Amino acid sequence: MLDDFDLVLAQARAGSAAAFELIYRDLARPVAAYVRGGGVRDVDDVVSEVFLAVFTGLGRFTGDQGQFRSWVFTIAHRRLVDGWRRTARTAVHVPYEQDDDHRTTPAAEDGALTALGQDSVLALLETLTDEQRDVLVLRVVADLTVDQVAVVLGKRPGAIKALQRRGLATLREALSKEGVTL
Amino acid sequence: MSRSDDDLDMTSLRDDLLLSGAAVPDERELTAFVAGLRSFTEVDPQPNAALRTLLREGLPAAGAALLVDAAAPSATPSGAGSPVAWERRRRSVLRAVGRLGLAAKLALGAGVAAASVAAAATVDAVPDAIQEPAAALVSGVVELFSPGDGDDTPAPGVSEPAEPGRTAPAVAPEVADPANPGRRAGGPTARPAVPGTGQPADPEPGGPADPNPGGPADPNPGGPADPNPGGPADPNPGGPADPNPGGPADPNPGGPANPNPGGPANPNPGGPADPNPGGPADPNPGGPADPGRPADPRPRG
Repeated sequence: MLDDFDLVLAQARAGSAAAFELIYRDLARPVAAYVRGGGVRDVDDVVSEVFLAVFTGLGRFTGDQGQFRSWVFTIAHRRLVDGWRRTARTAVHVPYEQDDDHRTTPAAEDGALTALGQDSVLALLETLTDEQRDVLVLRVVADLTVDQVAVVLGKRPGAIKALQRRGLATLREALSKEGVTL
Repeated sequence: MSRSDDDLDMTSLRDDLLLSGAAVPDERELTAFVAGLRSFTEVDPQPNAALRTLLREGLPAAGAALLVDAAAPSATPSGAGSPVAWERRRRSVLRAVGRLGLAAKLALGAGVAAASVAAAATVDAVPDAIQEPAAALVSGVVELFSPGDGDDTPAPGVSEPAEPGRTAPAVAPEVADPANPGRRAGGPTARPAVPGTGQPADPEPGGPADPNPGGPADPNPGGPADPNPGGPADPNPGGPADPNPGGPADPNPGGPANPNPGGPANPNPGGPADPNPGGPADPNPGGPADPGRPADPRPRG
């Protein structure tokens, strides 16, 4: 979160590179995580498009920092939806090449309390509907409240709660069925 | 609150706790999933070239000004006279003109040119060197299109000008100024017109009866109700009400058409022709009867 959001926003509206940098540093990672969670392959490019749209559209925004966060993720969500429409959700199959696989598995001591690998997380997200995935990813990586997620997705808060509940239930079922090891 | 509502609330609280990243004892797998999802945020995205430029150089001043102005409607409305508002308006006009067809563009251009010449002819601020040719052009065009051109007989109800060589236009407010040919009486610089010629309001609304019953046709067909239905023509078609609707009896009932049918009584019925019939140059427009105003010398009938 930015300490003096109003000042930074005013400077960004005036075209200040420093203000752009502050906003980018504050939000680039969560936006990238949301885009990655949406199954986008070229995350960097989409994130850059999102922030270009944010910086050139600042004149249309009014509100506080929470609303600004919601607004940025609304733009990201639309980019994501546009990307899905363009590719019609067809997966691109790339043949596996072991030499190109630079992924590493953390040591056992590193992951004692930890987390599922990113591939496992992505695989689990695939078990959800688009709306359930959007809700859970926005709640987790963007730290948005139910009301803010409702604004981003254009739904009522009650619908967001229901999607969240059903999404978590689906994940519990998938985790128990597949016996995902920690 | 029912039991199921309680359960829902508890579930919702637990879900919120889980999604916030806290470790929930009975949900190890889901906690690990959330932690894995959170780890997505540990990767810095690489900005592309356009975003790198923006982050390094910011937005140019002009672009930033546009952004600030665009924000104005929601915060403080941008002034109608601001440069950006003017620019926006200019662009919208250009776009509208661009959508017109060739004929419409030609008509628009001709209209703008005509309006410019007319404005140059009437606005006092225009230098004489420009105004006089423009005024001459306008009078020429007005004469060209005036009804009864080429005919010495004036249009019905139009006061015959006393000044030789001058013809009164068909519409009284458009009468040429004798002192300044080509200048319109109804223009922005016109002097007040004579009562009874359809120009200013009645200085004596409760005046006596019509002084000229049985006169010619009303040249003011679109004007207000004729206070003198059997009277002469209203020399000011489209003008305001007769300034003297209840005027006195016509002192010259068989005489020529009264150029001032609704006006005050003519104190000089047998006098010479009105030097400014229907003209704008009445020095006392809202005043009482014009002591110097003679009757129209035209024979009636």
